[in-house]
Amino acid sequence: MMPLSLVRIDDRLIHGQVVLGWARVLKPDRIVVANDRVAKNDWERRLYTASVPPQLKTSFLTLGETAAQIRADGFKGESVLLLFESVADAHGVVEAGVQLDEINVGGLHYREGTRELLPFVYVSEDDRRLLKDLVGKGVRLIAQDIPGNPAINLNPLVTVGAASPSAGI
Amino acid sequence: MVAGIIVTHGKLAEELVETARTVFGDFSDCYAVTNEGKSPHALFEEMKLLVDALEGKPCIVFVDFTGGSCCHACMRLKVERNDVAIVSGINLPMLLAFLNKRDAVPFGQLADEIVDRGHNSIRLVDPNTL
Repeated sequence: MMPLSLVRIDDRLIHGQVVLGWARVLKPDRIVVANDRVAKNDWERRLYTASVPPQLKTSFLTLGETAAQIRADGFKGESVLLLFESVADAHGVVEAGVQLDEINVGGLHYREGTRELLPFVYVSEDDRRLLKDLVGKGVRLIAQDIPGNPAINLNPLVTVGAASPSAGI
Repeated sequence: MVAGIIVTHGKLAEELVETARTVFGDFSDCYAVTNEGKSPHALFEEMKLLVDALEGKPCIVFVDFTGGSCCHACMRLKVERNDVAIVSGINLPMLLAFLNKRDAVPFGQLADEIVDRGHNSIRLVDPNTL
């Protein structure tokens, strides 16, 4: 398994908090964006690449490629900052046989049919179910938007007291 | 009149517009947008609504920095609406230049002149080298 310096779910993928916040502090060798849409969209790849300082390598992989690369240590020991756009994408990679120790849910904004866990974390009932499943698979879930802020333990928020009545979808 | 939309993190856009009013006097057709609490999709949709509401009026979109989610949302907008110009690195001198020049300079030149103003506004200031 390659060393993962951070695994983050963030609907913005690469943006200021990731580059100026996390990459500055963790100094990874590479940012990996695991996303089927972006991996196949040349324009989006260029958009995100332009946001990353030149010394930091960037890869855009499909979820399948991401799982295969992690399992095979395809980055040859580089330290990697791994980004997912959604809970479902992160869950998919775990389902594909990748053990992730910790996932930082760093930014899931309000969408229709979601409820607030934290001001920067809104989840649908599907998200909550998948997050709970990840906890059951031994993943530690934290929520931390930027390095200087406290890491909030999400495990109890997704496992205890299923859906609130307002979360009916 | 050329419209302006300022899109930033936090309250920066709102404060830039308010502060410009104290210097320039009152003005219209200049809007402040924040990305706070908005998904990339929600921000993109909000920008699209705003630009559509301009009904074809030329528009300059200002963002705080390249590579952030504000800039990304505006670049997605430009793919669909090539009639907007996007300028990054907004500061107060740039906003004042926009307000000053938007009726005086052809739209095709306006963004370049604002970028030049931005560049010129940033310098080491030393009273001994006046």
